[in-house]
Amino acid sequence: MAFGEIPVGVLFSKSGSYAAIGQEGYWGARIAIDEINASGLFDFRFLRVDGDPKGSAENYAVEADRMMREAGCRHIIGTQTSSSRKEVLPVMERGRGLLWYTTPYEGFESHDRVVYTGACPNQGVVPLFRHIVPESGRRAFLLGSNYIWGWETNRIARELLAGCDGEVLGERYVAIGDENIDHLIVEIREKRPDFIFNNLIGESSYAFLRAMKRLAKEDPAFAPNRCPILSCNLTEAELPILGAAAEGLVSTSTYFETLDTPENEDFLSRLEGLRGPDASISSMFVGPYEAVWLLARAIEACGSDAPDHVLAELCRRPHRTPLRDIRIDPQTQHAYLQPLIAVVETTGPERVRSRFRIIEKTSGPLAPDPYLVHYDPLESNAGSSGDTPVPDNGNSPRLRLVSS
Amino acid sequence: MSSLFRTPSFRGWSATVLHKPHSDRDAVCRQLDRLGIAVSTAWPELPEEARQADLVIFDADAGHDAQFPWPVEEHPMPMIALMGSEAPGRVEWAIRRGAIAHLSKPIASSGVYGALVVATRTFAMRRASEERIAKLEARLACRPQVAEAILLLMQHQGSDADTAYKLLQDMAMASRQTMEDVALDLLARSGGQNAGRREA
Repeated sequence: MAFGEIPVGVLFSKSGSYAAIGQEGYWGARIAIDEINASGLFDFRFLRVDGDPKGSAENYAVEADRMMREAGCRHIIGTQTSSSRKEVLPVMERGRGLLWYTTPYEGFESHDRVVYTGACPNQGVVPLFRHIVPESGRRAFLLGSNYIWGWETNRIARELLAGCDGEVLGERYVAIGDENIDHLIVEIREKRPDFIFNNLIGESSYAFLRAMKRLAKEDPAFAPNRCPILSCNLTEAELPILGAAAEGLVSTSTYFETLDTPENEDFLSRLEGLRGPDASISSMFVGPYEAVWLLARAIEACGSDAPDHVLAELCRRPHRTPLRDIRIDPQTQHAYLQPLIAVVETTGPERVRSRFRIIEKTSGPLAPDPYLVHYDPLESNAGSSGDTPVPDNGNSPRLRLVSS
Repeated sequence: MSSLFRTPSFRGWSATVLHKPHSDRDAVCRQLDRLGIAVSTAWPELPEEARQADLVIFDADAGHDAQFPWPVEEHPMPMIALMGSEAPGRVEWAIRRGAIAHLSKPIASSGVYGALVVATRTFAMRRASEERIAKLEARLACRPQVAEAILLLMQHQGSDADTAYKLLQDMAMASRQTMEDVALDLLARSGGQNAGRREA
């Protein structure tokens, strides 16, 4: 076994419109590579090959192609938006490489050249609604930025609501980056939903959340405890931008910084030394970080960095990362994940640093179901994994949002 | 914005793939398996049992009519063609054979789900319009009996054609039958010479 140095592509937009999460992804991969190289655990080293597509989808394929052909990368960690992932797929297919995609996404994909470690809808929106509907009610207002994530996530939300005799009081989309959201506030004030499902992203989302805080001051019926705002992709990375406007938001993720495990405590104290006490760690950081560790463990176990061997090894049994063991489903190449639900709290008046307080955990990792094959919103036990044996999943509650 | 749109699910469906052993066939089978579909393969001929399958996916490059156990004009289930050649004769054959969606070779890691949704939706729409057309044709075939029934009512009630027509309509509405069925009943009861002609 003579690997020596294994080049690994790190493909995140460190600049451009979503640089905030791109930077998180980049640092997650980078720190994992450094840890692995310094650990003395492996008889190979990773050589980081960086590429910055600057937030524009068409640059991703060019960068991925360069990484594979010029730098000899067979593994690429990265892409965050669905459009950038789609751009990279033909490149991975041509070069028979492996893309490590770690971002939560809308599902309905299962590409042979991709390992998916971010949540798909049955691990995100479904548990979120299962939590919120019995607590807050069935009348929802759906919002989204005008692209596939918002459309598809809201479509699933509609279906979930239809399955529990719920009601969609409104469904509105605004262009990405549009901060003109007053009409949404007017409509929400008039319709008075039980909760708001916010799939706006970036600046639109920030403008909306600030406006909702102003509305809540005028009319307490829109305070978070009476009309909560839900998100499937709000992470710690955006909390400093939002400040007090984030108070009370409910989000779902498969990692929050406040996860109370000894492994997470160790992980955070190590990172504090590297990134300083004020940097918060989000799932956008943890996803690539864990992916690089999975890659190292799989190469170590199978004795090869050939993508097909690595993939077979990954699917054979769970592998250890510093935070948890991760198991990849051989059929879909998606990870088993434990959905968490959390609410944003600001820690004190003197210091506006917000954090997520975890309010619900599923009992164990949930099998991925990217095509929602084992799910029927109108069926009483939809969302549980049907008749497929899912050992980790025995105690998961029924999807049916309300029992009557 | 239909609130009734449901995520298409193919769990528990069965599919037969008619294609020689090949990486393209494997790629299709792998994708079908992910969707919870029970897959069987066949080559060079589709067995008679393939008629029970919910879906048939067939090779349009090397395919020919003798491979199918049913006549060309019969399309028992949604079918998807696997196309390498785009020579118009091949495309035409695939369509005639019943393909309502297609996948281009080489088969990649995606595309099957979308093709299935298109094929099953188109198939259901086609079925529904065929049924509707058959129903309308059957009613159309009863035109002479309806005319005769109106004449009968006119004689019986001493009314004009409009009133008799309206009466026939009311009777249909009240008995929740079509006007054609009511007309046939009337003729049968009155022993009219054309009664029962609908069967002809």
